[in-house]
Order: sequence, then structure tokens, then C-alpha cells
Amino acid sequence: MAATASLKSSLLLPSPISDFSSAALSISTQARRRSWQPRGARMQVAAAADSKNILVMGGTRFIGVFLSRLLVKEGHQVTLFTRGKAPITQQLPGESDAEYAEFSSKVLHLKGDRQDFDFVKTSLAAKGFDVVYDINGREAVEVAPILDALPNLEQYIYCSSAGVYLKSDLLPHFETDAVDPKSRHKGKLETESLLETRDVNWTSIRPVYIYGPLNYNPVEEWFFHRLKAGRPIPVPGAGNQITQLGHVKDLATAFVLALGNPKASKQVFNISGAKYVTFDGLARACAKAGGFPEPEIVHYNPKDFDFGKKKAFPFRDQHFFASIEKATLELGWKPEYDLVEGLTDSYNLDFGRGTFRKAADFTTDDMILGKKLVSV
Amino acid sequence: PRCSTCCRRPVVDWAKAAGVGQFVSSAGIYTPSDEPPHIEGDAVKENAGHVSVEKYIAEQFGSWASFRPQYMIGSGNNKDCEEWFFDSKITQIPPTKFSQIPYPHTKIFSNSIQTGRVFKRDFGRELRCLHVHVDLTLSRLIC
Repeated sequence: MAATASLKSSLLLPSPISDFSSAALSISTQARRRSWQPRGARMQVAAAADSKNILVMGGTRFIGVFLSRLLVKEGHQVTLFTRGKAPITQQLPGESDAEYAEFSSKVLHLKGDRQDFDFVKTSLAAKGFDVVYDINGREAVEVAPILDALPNLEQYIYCSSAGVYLKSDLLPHFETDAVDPKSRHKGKLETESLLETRDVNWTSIRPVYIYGPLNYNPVEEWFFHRLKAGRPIPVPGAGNQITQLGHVKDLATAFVLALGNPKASKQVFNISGAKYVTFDGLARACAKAGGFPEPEIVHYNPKDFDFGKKKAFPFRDQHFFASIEKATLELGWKPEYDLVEGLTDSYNLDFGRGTFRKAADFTTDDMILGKKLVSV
Repeated sequence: PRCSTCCRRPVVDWAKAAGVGQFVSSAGIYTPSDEPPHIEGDAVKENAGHVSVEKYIAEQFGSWASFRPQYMIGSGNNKDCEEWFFDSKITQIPPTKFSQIPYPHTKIFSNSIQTGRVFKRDFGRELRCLHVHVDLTLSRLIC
């Protein structure tokens, strides 16, 4: 009763107009300001009717950070499972003090190592969760103890990857396309198989490349470093390879829309941006987002170089994109960010504030540009 | 040139009189973009013949539909699409040497097959209807 009263009173509190607003948005690069927030009607209905006790594995980094905020805002009880090494919560760039205080006061913490299967099993069984969001699971063996601990689990929502698809001449990838049992993401496939075998009510989200503030993969950051340094952008091949990027906040929204959704039961969904982009186009889009002049793009043949273990470019040199049609039709989801808007959001809330995950490393660039100079 | 408003105007005027409101344009009118695929609201080349035809159609009809097909395949094709690959010199190349098939600098991706299937499925009924009534004129509508 006290819990219910507390829940209702929190719903009556005035909600911020937008979550994770980009305080430093540049008007010149964005014609229309868009507030990114959960649908009000759904929030009220979901929170009042069906508050869930939710466990988030991988809730303190990138995807999990944005997802857990949405879940708490919708009125769910959210527990973050972490090893307790990093801070359990930290204020997001653009997040107000009030918003952060609300979130950090409500989220719960379960400390442990998900590789310690005995601990996972006993501690989860003691808590009893309705739903598990598994954002950082890589191998099926990590999932089995969770399922063992929670026999009454209502839903297991898993972050898989579009990297599981078998390379194909026919694109975009659809959820029904063949998968590659030998891909470096095969742990994701094995997890999906385990969930199916255990007859769990599972949902698997397969993102393509993900970007947005706090990204730990150097996707847009790779370009921002070079643009800021005023350097040419080396792009392999002819630069018209087609790829696809999805914004992390749109991905978080998709994860929430799957919650308790009958249409998401035992279903796979590709999640990414509404459009694709060429490699050259992405370099130009990053320049627009950060307010940089149009970059000089230098094309090269990767076979002419031995980069050793260093990656000279953040994307595989191939076409790679997936259809999001199923997610839009079944989940009622649609990406809020177009590419330049999304990159602007990332720039304004992260790199543009002087923060990044990996320091600039122009070693391979110098190899490429050096050879180009000699050739000329 | 073959698709200018001038030479299409009589056809549009006739179609209006006949109550026909579906037209075949072309996906080639879109301005090249860094972000495929093109959607119907994307910018178009103002100097493209089909663009001026579409504008004229919009002026003449309260209700109209314009189809913008990309590369079309299928029997009876009047353009070299699959035919180029079916050419006898190509078919003599054994599968193990498919990499010898000549391509431009890089293999530029195309959505033609999917588009063709979608287009055929969606437009087939109207196409047959138009064909029955205006055989010769129809072939001129499809530029």
C-alpha cells in the first residue's frame, strides 16, 4: 500500500518537458527542435496498470544508461546489476539536477559478477524479477543461470546484433534472413537459441551500428577527432559503401516498446536509423553536426597497407544495412532522429564538450596520407 | 528530351478527358544523395523532364498518382538490365571466374530487383487496364 501510494505520488510530480535535452543545441544546424520523451499516454497507462520489477544487466553504460532512465520514468522498479567498480549512477550531460536526483533515488543496485554463475543464480532467485533486460550478454552460458533463478520470468529482452546475419548480395537484411553460425557474434545466436529452447518469453533486438552521446565504440567519435584536428578523412575504397547508424535513444525507446508487448513475444527486431548512408556521406554529416567545414576526403585501397592490429576505419568495408520495417509495423516504433540531428545530439552532449572514450590516434591516417603524398 | 512537358502535354490533356489518373514517372528524377534509399518526399532535379510532367499533372488533376520506378526487370524489357548479364559472352564465364565480369570502378549497389517486384505487384492491375484501352499511348507514357 505504501509502495503504491509512493508510486502514484511520483506520477503526480511535474515531469520535465524532455529527457536528455541537448542544452547546447545549435539552431543553425537544426531547423526544428525535437523533444525526445516517452509517449505521455503510454507512460500513464503503463505505469498505472503494470509496473514491473525489472533487472537490467549492463545498465550503467551507453544503451543501458538511457534505457534505465526511460524505465524508471515509466514507473518501473529498476535494479542495475553491476560489478560495483564504476559509479552506479552518474548525471548525464544535459540532464538537470532534479532529473538526476529523481533517477538516482529510485534505481536499485545489485552488486556481483555475472560470470559468477552461482552468485547470479542465488541472488536473483532471492530477489525475484518480473523482467530482465540483458544489454551486455555475449554468451549463452551467462544467460542460463538467470533463467534458472527466475522460473516465473515474464519476459527476457535481449540486446543481440545485426552482425549475426550471413553476408548477402541482397540487402537490406530482414529478420528472416539467414544468419552466420560462425560470425564473431555467434554468442548472440547461441543465446537466442537458448532462449527459444528454454521456452522463455523472449524478445531479441538486433541493432546495426549504434551512435549517440557516451558511445564507447568510436563511430562518430572517429570522425569528430579528425574534423576537430582539421585533418583529411581517409575513407577506404570509393566511399560509396552503404551503411546504417541508429541513435541510442531511439534504440532505448524500442527496448521499452517491447516491454509487455504481445507482438514482441518470441520476436526478433532490427533497430537502426530510417535511412542508410554512404561512407563519404557520413563524413560530411559529422562535419555538419559539429559545425566543421566540409572535409577533404581521401580514398585509398586498404590492400596497399599493412595496418597491423590497428583499425584504420570504424566500419567494415562492405555494404551493411537492415530493414526496420518489422519494428515500425509491430512495435509502433519509429526513429526520432535523422542522421544529422542525431550526430548533432551526440556532438553537443559528448565530444563537443571535450569528452570522448578513446584518444585521437592518427597513426594509420599518416600512413595513408604519407603514401598519397609520395604518389602525387 | 523525350520526357519534356511539351511532348507530354497532349497525353496528359487526353488522359484528363478520359478520366485516367495514374502515371509512370521515374526514380531517376531524385537528386543524388548521401543517404539512400530515396523516399517520395526527397528533393528532385528541377531540370528533369519527368519533374515538369509531374507538375503539369498536379495542376490538371485534383486526384492523381505518379509511380517512380527504379530499374525494371522482367520479360519484354526494352532496356538492357538483366539482358546485359545474360549476354552470351557473360554466360560463357564459368562460376569460378565470375570475378571476371566487368564492372565499373566499384560494384555500385542497386535495389532494382526488389523495386521491380514491388512495382509489378502494385501496378499490375492498373497497367493491364490502361493497356487494354490505350495500347500505343501507354508505351509512350512509360518513358
